[in-house]
Amino acid sequence: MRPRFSAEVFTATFCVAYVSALAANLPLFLYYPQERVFSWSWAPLSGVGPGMAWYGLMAVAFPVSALVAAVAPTDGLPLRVREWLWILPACAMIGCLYLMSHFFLP
Amino acid sequence: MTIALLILHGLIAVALLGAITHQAASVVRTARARPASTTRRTFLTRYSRVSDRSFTAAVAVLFVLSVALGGTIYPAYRIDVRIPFEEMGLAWAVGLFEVKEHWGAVGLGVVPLYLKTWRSEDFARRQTPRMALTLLLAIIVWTDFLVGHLLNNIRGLG
Repeated sequence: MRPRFSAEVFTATFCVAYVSALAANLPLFLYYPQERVFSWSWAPLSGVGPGMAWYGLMAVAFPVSALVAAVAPTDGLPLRVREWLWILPACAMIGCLYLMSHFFLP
Repeated sequence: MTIALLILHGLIAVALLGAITHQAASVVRTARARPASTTRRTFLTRYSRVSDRSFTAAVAVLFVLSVALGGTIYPAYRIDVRIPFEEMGLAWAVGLFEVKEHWGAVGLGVVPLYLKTWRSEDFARRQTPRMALTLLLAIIVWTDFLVGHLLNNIRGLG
């Protein structure tokens, strides 16, 4: 039996999950490359160098969207809706730009 | 090792840039298609006159490979490049890299739907989602490539 997977649901859920986790600053874990330490706490550790959230954000967005895409019916969305799903990644890109805007403002 | 991976990352990015730009030019040309007799034979028409569908698998594989390699060398950037940027007060450079990494992640999430719009019969007669997703990926690839190149010029790894 072929496993079910809805590409539409995966992309839509991934965009929402990733930007939500980024906006709420809720990666699954933080990675500290200097000491090669993973931390499950959202609070930054001290004495281990700078932390990275990107892996933790991906670790939130990927399993969530894969699970939802496997559970959701593949033909559940009408074609009219599927035709406009590209707006979600476009909004996610604008959202990321907005969330990073503090780097560019004086 | 990091330098070798960075060069490989750059080479894959160049191949991806070529493939997605060809496909984007072709899909836009198809959307604005005029009768063949009225089309002038310019460099642009020849550049975009490729089988757009044939680039799909290459774009998907190269995009995933590029992000995976970028993710592998990311810790080296965080230690050896970002800290000096912060010390030099180049917040905009740090911000550009942040946009690059987040857009790369969004692009990774887009790949399955992009593949489906090019391969599924459901989307065969619908040009808008196919064109929109291809152009979105092209914007991500071009932005990420230029930002990576710029930041490497300011301060590379090693």
